[in-house]
Amino acid sequence: MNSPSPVAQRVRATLAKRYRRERRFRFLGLAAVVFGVLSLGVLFADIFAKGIGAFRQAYVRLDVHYDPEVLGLTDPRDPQALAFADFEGVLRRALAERFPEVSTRRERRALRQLVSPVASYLLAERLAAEPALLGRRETLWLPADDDVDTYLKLKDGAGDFAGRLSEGARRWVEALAASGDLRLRFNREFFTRADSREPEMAGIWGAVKGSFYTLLVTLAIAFPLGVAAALYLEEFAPRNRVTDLIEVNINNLAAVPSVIFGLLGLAIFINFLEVPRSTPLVGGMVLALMTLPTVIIASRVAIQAVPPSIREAALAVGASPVQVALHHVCPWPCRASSRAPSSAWRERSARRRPC
Amino acid sequence: MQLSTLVLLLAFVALGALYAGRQRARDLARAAGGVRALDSLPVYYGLYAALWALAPSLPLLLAWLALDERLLHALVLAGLPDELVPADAVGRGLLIGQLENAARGAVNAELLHPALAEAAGRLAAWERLARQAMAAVVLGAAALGAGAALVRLSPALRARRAVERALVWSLLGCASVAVLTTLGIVASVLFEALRFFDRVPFTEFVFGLEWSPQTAIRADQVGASGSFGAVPLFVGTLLISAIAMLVAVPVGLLSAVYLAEYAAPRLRAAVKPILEVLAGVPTVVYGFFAALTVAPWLRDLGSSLGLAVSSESALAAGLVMGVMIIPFVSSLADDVITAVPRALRDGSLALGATPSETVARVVFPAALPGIVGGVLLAVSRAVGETMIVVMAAGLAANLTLNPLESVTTVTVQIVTLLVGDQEFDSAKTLAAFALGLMLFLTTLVLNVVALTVVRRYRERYE
Repeated sequence: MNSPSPVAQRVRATLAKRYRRERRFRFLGLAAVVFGVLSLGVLFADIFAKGIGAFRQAYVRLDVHYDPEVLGLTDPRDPQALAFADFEGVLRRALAERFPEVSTRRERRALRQLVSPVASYLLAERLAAEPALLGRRETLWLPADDDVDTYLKLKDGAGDFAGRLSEGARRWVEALAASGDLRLRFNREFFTRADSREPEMAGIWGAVKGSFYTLLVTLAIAFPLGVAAALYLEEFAPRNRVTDLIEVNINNLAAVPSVIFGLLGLAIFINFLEVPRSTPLVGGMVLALMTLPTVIIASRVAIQAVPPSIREAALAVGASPVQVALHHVCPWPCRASSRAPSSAWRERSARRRPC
Repeated sequence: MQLSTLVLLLAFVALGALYAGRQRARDLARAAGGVRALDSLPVYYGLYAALWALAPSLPLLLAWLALDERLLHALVLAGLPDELVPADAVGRGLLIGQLENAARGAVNAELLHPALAEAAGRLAAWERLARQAMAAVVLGAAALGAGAALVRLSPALRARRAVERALVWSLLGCASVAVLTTLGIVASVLFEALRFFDRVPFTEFVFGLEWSPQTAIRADQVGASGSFGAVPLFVGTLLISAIAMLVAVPVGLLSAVYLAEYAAPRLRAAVKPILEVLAGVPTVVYGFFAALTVAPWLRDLGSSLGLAVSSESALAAGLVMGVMIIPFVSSLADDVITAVPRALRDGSLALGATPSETVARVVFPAALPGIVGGVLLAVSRAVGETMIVVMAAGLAANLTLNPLESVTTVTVQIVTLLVGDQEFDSAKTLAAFALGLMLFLTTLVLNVVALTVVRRYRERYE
């Protein structure tokens, strides 16, 4: 029976502390991971919660009378006359009919502000589409003003929330809501309209179209150029100064801030080459230059993943290096991604970093 | 003739050359006794002819397009009486615009000076002539090239080698676009910045403590000169970047270590892609998050603690930017940590060190160069980040290190100076390019250092 050596004693004495430190470190690591995942969750939840409101929009149901006398219009097929017709008056009359008790001018003006300022244009469009409506009555859902919309969306939960509505306006809104004439409905126009100063008229279609064309230009330039450059660097480039210069440039460009590319576009494309500004063309060209390094780096990773046996087999049956590259190396990643890509390939392409 | 028609016709000529070349190669083969008598496959002879159709005509077309407008304008101006031609470039540009519009019929020519009206008529005629001449010359060059190539076709012609060499050269051209882009950036930023330093001395820009780029339109207005001391912007940029790195470096490194050393493979496979999603979220979305959620939250938190927090505080922008950068740090650190050889770890563990001691004393020092490189790349990203700070940071240039106050950054100022219509001869607009130059140089140094460190590190363990 021998007693433990002094070293073992010292180790044993500090062991509990070291294990504690180990657990703390492990916990810190886990906390960091949880923080990252949680941030993503909070970000998504927040954006979702803030954005979801845009898909619903307050509409007011009004009984509209297309009175030829109020409009000052005899022939709705005449665009000139239609443009000068008093749809504002029709709208005001419809509101006055709905709230007969409103008498003073100031109140009437406040009443008009319940409905979107552009509602009269919607009436004009309606009559232009169906001229037979002239002189008749029709029940329409018209977009409410954005203040009413905000009030309706936010009033639940926060007791006496008033938003930007006055006392009287709130009474009218409550009356309309109680009779079912004011409702939040799915905002279909959000997907078909362009941007607007009036929140209730704003939509994303214009922006979607712009993004689409810009990305089309970007893709058309960056994809072929990037794949060609990657092919050259992987298959043909000799190891010399020029190749080194190109590689350093690509890796550096991948980390150049995007504002700098904007300055390049402004100075070279717009001022020097005089490409028309604010077009998808110039935006797409600048974005293509900006994404080019990323495309090149990702394509190089994909080309590196082509097994050497493919190249060797093709060379062995007499293909030239260009034929090897075009007929065998290039199609491989496309086919590999349409089959289930090997996990190694997926891992490497997911990294997307300069290498 | 429209340009698009011309390009289409050119494509047709090239296609025709392709078919003619292939056909002629087949005829030659038949005469010589089979395809084997040819040096290359018939299609390469076709491609050879098509390349010869395009090789002279495409550069010609581009050169013509680049030169003809300038040449025509100079000719028209030279034909005008001297007293009608303004001395300065801007006035000449306006005059040319007027003549162009008159030539197109958009301006009533009768309202113009008779000499100008005549010049407009001449311009219109010349433009028509130039377009026709361009079409004739370009198509002629294409036909000539294709014809010469077709005549030269013979069984011994090494068509494949020629075509392949041309292809490799064009691939090299594609690869050099990166170099051209860098040159373009340097040229565009440098020349405008030099014009800026003509107006504002370099020392004032770099050391000045006052930034208010509003230059007045009239000389006698208050603050007519504007002041361009960029120190507040540099300090603001550094402050926000530092806050971002304070978030991103610990969180990124710790999560990389945890995922590489502790996590079960299944957890790692699940969490890594989730963290990478953070890097894929567009920065505008982060900007929204910072401006509409984090900044008001911080302000309310501050006021409940009795602190005055600006609603555009550097803290909000920095925190959100830090979250955005976490995945960059973590995935780069993960790469270098997993690249540390297993034997080093096993040796440390075999001596009785706990896993955390192994990480701290063995793995981390071994991976340090790579980690430093990754952090430098992340700093470069933070310095150049634009959308988050445009939305969440302020516009006023405060020289302060207090993270609760509103500061502005270099990128924010570039954006605000250039948004909208600008004239390119005011110091205000040119200042954006000077700021761009500083930003480009800073990120260039950071990137080059980081990439060299990372590359050298990778070579060490391969």
